[in-house]
Amino acid sequence: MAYSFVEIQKRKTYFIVFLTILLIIIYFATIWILWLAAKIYFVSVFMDFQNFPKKFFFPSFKENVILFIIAIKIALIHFFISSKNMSKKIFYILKAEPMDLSYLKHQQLKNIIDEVLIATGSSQIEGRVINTAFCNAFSTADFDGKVYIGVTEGLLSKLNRSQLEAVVAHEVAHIISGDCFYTTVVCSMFGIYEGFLERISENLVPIETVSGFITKSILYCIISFISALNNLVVSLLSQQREFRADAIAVKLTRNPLALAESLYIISKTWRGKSTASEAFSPLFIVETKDASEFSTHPPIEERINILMNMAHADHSVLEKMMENMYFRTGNIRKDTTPKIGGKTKTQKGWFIFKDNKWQGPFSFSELTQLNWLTGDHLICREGALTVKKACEDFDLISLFKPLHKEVSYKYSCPHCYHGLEELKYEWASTYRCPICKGILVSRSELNKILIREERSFSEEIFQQAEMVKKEKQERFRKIQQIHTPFVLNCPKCGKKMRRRLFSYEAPVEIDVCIWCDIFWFDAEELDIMQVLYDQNLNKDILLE
Amino acid sequence: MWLLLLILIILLWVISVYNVIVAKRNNVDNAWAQIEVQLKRRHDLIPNLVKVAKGYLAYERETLENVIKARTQAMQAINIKDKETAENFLTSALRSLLFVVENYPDLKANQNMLKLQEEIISTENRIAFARQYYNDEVMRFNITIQQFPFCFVARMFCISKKELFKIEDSSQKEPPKVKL
Repeated sequence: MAYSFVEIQKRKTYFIVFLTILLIIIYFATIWILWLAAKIYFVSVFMDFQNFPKKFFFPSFKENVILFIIAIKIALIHFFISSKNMSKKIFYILKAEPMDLSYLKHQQLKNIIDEVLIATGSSQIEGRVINTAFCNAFSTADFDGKVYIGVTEGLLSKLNRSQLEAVVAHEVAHIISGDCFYTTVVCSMFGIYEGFLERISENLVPIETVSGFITKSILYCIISFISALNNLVVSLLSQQREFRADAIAVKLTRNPLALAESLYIISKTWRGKSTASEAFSPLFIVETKDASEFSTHPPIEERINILMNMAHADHSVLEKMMENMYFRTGNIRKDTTPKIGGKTKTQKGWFIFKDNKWQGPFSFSELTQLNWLTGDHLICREGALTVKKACEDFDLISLFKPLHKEVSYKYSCPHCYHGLEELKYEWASTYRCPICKGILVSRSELNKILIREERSFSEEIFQQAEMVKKEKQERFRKIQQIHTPFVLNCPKCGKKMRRRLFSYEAPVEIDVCIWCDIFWFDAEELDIMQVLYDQNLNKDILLE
Repeated sequence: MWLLLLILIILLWVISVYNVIVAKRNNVDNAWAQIEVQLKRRHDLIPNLVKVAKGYLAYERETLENVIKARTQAMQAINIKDKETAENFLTSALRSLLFVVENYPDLKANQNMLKLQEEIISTENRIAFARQYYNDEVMRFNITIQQFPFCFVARMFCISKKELFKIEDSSQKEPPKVKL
C-alpha cells in the first residue's frame, strides 16, 4: 500500500549493507582493543614494561589489515547466524505459541487479523500468542517474507474487539510499510542473545548459594554488555515509524479512538518490564522498558494526543474509560443470575430437546433407559437457565462413557483415587476429579486461567475469597511453608507434593509437585484464587 | 515528418494512459470479487445460525423466517444496485435476530452460538473492510478517468464511471453490536 514490493526490496539491500558495516566497525573496535590489551598484559607479565618501546603497542598497518579481515569474517558469520529463522528464535525466547482456535478469544484474534488484511488487500499473516500476564503486542518478519503478529494473553483479556482490531491494524501497518522487517533484523543482531541469556538466568540456580551467586553475576555482566550493544544498534531505528504506523492503522480501521484507548490501557498496565521481552522492546507496540534516552518509541502521551486530535475528542473520554477499567473485573465477574432450586439441583430432572420441542423432565434413572439419547442432544436441568449438550453436563458424562468402555485415565485423584477427567477450564486443559471436584493444573495452564476472564463467580466465592485473604495473610507473614508439608501424592509422578500458600496476595493453600511443576486445587480453590488474583491486578492499575 | 513524429508521440501517450486506466479497472474488479467472497461467506453462515437458534427460539419464528427470506433474495441479486438493497435488508434482518438472541440467556451462553456470533461479527467486519477497499479503488479509478487530459482517452474508449457500493445510512457503518 505505502510502498511497492520492489521499493521495499531495494531498501532492504541498502539496509543490510549498512548494518553489516556497522557490525564490522563494532567488531573491529573490540578486536583492536582486545589485541592492545593482550599485548600490554603479555609485556607486563613476561618482560620489562618500563623499558619496552611504546611504539610496539600500537598495531602496525599489517596488523591492522589482519585485524580488519578477522573483524569482517566474524561480523559476516554473526550476521548470517543471527538472521536465520529470526521469528522462530524470538518466539522461543518470548514463549510465543500458535493460537488455540477452540478458545473463542484466539479465534477472534485470528478473525481480526484476516479482517484487517482484507482492508489492505495483501497476503497471509500468522498469529501468535504469548502466555503471560503483561499487555503488549508485536510483529516480526523474516527474510523469506513470512510475517507474524503476536499478542499477549493479558492484552487479549483486557481489550474489547474494536480495540484489539486497532492494535492488530497498527502491527499490520508496520508489516506493509516494511519497517517491521528492519526492526526484526536489528533486534535479532544482539537482542536474541540478550533475551536467551536472560531466559537462562531466570531459571538458574537460586542466588543464595555461592556458586549460584557467582554464575549469576558473571551472566549479569555479559547480559549488560550485550544489552549495551543492543541499545546502540537499536538506536538506529527512527521513532517516526510508530507515528507512521499509527496513521496507517487509523486509515485502515477509520477508528482513531479505539487505538488511543488501547494505547492508554497498555501504558497503564504491566508492559513486560524485567522479562526477556525487554531485549525486543522495539518490536512491541509500546516499549517494554521505561522511557529513556535510548527509547525506540516516541512518548506515549504524544501518540495518544495525536490520535485524540484525529478523533476530535478530548481526554475526558479516556478518563471515563479508566474508571470503567477499574471496575471491569470483579464486578462483572459476579454471577448475578438468580439461582432457582439452589443446591437441590441434582435431585431434579432433565429436559431434552428432541423433534423441535422440549421433552421431559426425566430423572437420572429414566435417562439411562432412553435408547435414542446421544451426547449431541440439547438438555436443560429442571429449574436451571442454561442449555448445553448432554455430553457437556458433568453428571451425565457417565451415561455416555459405556459407549467407549476402555477409558484409561491419565492421572488419578490424590484424595479419592478416582480417575481424573479432562476438563476445559477457561479453555485451558485441566483434569478434574468427578467426585471431590478437585482440579489438577500445570503451571503454564494455570497462567492462562489466571489471565483469562471468561468465567463468572457466585457471591459465595467472593465472600470466601475475602475470608481466605484475611485469615491467611496473617499466617503468611510468619512463615510461608505450612507445617504439614507432605500430604498428597502427585498424580503424575507419585512423589510427595508440598502444601504451601500460593502467594502473599493470593494466599490460597495449594499442593504443588516441584518435580512436575503441577498444581492440585481442591474444589472451589481455583475459583477463589481467580477472584483474589483479579483484585490484585486492579490494585496494580490503580496504584500507577 | 514532424507531423508524423507528433502523431507517434500522441499515440504512445494514448496507449500508456489506456494501460493505466485498464490496470485501475482491474483493481476495481478484484476488489469487487473480494466483496463477493465475503457476501458468500455470510450467506453460508446463515443456515448454521438458524439451525442453532431454532431450538431456543420457538416463539420467534417470524424473525428467523425473515432472515431466511432475506438470504434467498440476496443470493438471487445480480447487479450492484440489487445487491445493495438485498444485502441491506439481510443486514437488518440479521441484526434483529441477534437482538432477539440477547433476550434468551441460555442461547446467549451456548458455545456454538457464541462461536457463530463471533463469525457473524467477523463477516460483517470483513464485508465492511472489503467495501472500504472497493470504494477506495473505485474512487481512484473515477478520479483518473475524469482528470483533465485523461478524460479524452477514457471517452475515446467509452470507459465510464464505476458505482460505489453504498450502505443505507451512516449508523449501519457499525457492525451489529453484540455483547460477548
